[in-house]
Amino acid sequence: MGMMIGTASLPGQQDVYMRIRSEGFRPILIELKSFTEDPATGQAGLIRETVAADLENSGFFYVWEPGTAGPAAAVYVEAGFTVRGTQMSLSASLRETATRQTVFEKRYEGETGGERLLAHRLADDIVLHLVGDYGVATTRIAFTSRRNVSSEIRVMDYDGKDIRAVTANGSLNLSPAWSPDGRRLLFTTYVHENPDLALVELESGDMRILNRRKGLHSAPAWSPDGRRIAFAMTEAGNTDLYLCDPDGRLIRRLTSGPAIDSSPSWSPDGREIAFTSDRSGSPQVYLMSADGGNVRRLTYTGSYNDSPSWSPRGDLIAYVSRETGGFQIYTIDPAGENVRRITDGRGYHEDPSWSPGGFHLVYASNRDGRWDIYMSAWDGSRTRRLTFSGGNVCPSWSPSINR
Amino acid sequence: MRMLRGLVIVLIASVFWGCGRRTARIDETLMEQPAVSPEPARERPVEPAPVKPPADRPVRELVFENVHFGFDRHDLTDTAREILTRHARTLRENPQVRIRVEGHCDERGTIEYNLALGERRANSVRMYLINLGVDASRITTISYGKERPLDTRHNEEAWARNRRAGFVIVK
Repeated sequence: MGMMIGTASLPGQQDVYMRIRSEGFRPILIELKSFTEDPATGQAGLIRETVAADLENSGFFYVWEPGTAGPAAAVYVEAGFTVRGTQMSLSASLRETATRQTVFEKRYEGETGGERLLAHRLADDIVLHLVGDYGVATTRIAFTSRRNVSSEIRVMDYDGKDIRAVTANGSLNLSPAWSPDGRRLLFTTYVHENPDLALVELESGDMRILNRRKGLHSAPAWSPDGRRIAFAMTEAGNTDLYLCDPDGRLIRRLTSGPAIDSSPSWSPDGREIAFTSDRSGSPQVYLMSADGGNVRRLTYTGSYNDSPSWSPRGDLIAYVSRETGGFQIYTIDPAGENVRRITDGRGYHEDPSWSPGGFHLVYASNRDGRWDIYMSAWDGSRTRRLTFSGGNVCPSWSPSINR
Repeated sequence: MRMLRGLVIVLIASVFWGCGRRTARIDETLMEQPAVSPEPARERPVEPAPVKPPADRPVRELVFENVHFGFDRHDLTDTAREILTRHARTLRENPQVRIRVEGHCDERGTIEYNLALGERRANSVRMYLINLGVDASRITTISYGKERPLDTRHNEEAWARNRRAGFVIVK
């Protein structure tokens, strides 16, 4: 384990990523040694529990408990939680077990009620210091929640907790997409009786419509540099891809012809766009340059492939493939090789979206009877159900957010 | 029975005009009395007084039956063409009526692809009606993709019912 700590002192991101995906990767053993509180609010237990869940969900750690057989924890955390009025403070330190050397010490402040966020911030710092990667504990997931005749946009913490309403207009609100700064969401709304693109500022709740035109506007995807939005728009019944800026001004048309072109997803360098087209007679995933040129087909196996999502690492594209008995999530590399099924074949799966580090996927599935949001690791392992109310679809994982 | 279940639209002109309601009804007496509605439909006052059809007068119902499509298809079947031929006649006989064609899909496939497919279906219907002599300005389209199923079961029968174009009088 000592070797792991050695390599864990801020290696390059790519190294961590490759290592964690290698067959021999073993999670780091970490002990959450003491979580004291003053006064005794009972919240220290919640914080400890949340940190433990975050660390295990990250895929990088096992939380070691005293008495566990095998090697002892390589590192341990000690934390003290205090509350004064509505102000809370969490002081935490991370140390190496063998040397007692401090890896980091930090104090987290917040208002009461935000205990879980303090825990998420601590968990992400532990991941950053030991793995050299940004954790996902402070990230959020936007999704659509279907209720009777309306479908509203919601945002929740990455672990399915703390669900907040973004829209409450009683109409259809679909396909949320995050701005690269994590402060805004784009989505399709029917609130004005036409499928328009809406932009909402999450903090203020201000919402405005980007287009002033009848017809379908859907599948928005923000470019990594934040300056362009790829989306699908319909003219005379035919759906093509276009680019506009965040004020809704059209930049250019990307595709043309009688086929349906939709569901754009940017490569992390912003140079290419994966999308769905039925130009071959059935939906398939294609790639093109961000100016609309150099179009080439990516998927050849399966008769119906849709909903591409380009990993923020750039090396994989997740998509949905129709099979007997349902729709499954697959990944493929940008060269069209290494096709791999991620979901196990039970039920329908839709709308894959990557975590900012590219280690996790979130998607919607009806595998347990109702539509809910699930996450799993990049290889389909560690599947977890995040929502339980049914009717939850269109998950979109936020970028890293400074919360 | 299948045909009956497909009868979706019963509209009477009323307070609901232009409000995007899925069902409203058309009162023939209102339709034929320009004094009540002298302006073109789109220039009607925003808030007409609620008008209820007198109970003792016969109400004529305009009925537009749904048309259905194959999986991932937007071409019109022979049955759909027959139905649309009747719709075109109804529209020619009621030149004051404007309709919105709503394209729908079954639950299979993604939300975004189905939105595009529903738009395509609605447009197929619109173009067919235009070719049968209905003025293009009287027909708008909207796609609801798979978001508005008629039948929420998960089987072939439900999917067949949900792959449809429906009609709403928007006057």
